[in-house]
Amino acid sequence: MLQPARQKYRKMQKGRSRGIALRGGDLAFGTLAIQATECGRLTSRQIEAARIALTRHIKRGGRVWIRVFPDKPVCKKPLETRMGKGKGAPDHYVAVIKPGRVLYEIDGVDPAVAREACRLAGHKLPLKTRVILREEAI
Amino acid sequence: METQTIQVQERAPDGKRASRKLRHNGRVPGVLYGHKEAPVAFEFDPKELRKCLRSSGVGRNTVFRVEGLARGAVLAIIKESDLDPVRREVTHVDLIEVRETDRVDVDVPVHLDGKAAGVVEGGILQPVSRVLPLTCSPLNIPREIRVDVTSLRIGHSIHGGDVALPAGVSLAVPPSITLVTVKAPRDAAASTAEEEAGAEAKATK
Repeated sequence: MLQPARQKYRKMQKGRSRGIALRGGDLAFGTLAIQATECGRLTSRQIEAARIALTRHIKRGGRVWIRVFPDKPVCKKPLETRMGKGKGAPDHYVAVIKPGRVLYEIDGVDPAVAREACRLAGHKLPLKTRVILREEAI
Repeated sequence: METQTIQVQERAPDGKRASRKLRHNGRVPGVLYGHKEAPVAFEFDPKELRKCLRSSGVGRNTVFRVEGLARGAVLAIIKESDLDPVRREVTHVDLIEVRETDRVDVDVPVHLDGKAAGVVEGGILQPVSRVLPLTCSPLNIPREIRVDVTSLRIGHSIHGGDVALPAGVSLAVPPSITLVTVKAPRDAAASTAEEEAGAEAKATK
C-alpha cells in the first residue's frame, strides 16, 4: 500500500475541504481516466483496492497510472480510552480529494474494457466518480 | 484551412466580479491580443465556440475570424483556455491575433497508424508525446500528423525528426523529441506474485 517514505511531522490536523481541484484535473498520461466529482478522502487501502480492480479487469497489456498519493496521516486513539490525554497515534494515510481530481488513468486497452474496469474500480471508492476521455480541452 | 467565424461583443475589462456575472448569464469572457495592438476584452457564447471547434475538425488549432470588434474582423487562434475541471466547460479564452503572413507555433495531434511489430511480440505501445509542436502559416496548420508504427519493435522509438512533415511546416522543437515507443511487457507472473504477497501480509495482520 502507498504511504510516505519519510515525513517532517508525524501528526497532522484534520482540515476542511473547500473548492475544486485546481491541479490534477486533466489527463496527463492515458486515454481514459477516473475523475472524482465530489470531495472526500481516499485511504491507501481504498486506492490499492481500486487499483487491483482495474488491473484484474484489464488483465494483460495496458498501463495504469495512480494520480493521487495518500500523504496525510490520520490519527486514532486506542479503543476504550477516555477522552483527553493527547492526540492518538498515526493509524493510516489518506489522500485528500477535491471535485475534478483525476484519480487513475489507463492506456493501451480497448475502450469498452477500460470503461468497465473504471466502473468496477469506482465501486471500491467512497466518492462519486465518472469516466473521462482524452479529448480536446475545448 | 478554412476559418471559422465567431461573433464576440466587446466588454470593459472589469475584473472577476464582472466575469463571474457573465458566466452566470451563460456568456464567457475572453481577451484578444497580439501584433502590438492594445488587448481587447470581449465576451462570447461558449456554444458558438464549441460549434466552431467541432465543425473545423482541427479542435484547438482552429483559426477564427473574430467579428464584432470595434476595429473590425481579425484572424486569431487560441493561445490559452481555462476549463472548469468538474463541469468541463470553458471559463475563459485567450485569443492571439495572427496574420496570413505570420508563422505560428501550434501543437498538432499525432495519430498512430497500424499495429507495431513490438506489440505483436507482446510489448506495450507507449505514446510519449501525443502532440507535435510545429511552426507553420496559420492558414496551413495540419489537421494531424500520421505516424506509421508497424515497423516499431520492442525498445525502439520514433522521434520528431523521423516524421515526414507537409511542405511549409517545420518542427518547433528539437528533432530528438520522442513520439512513441514500445516497452517490454511487465512480467505477469511477478505482478501476480506481488499481489498474492500483499494479500498474505493482509491476512496475517
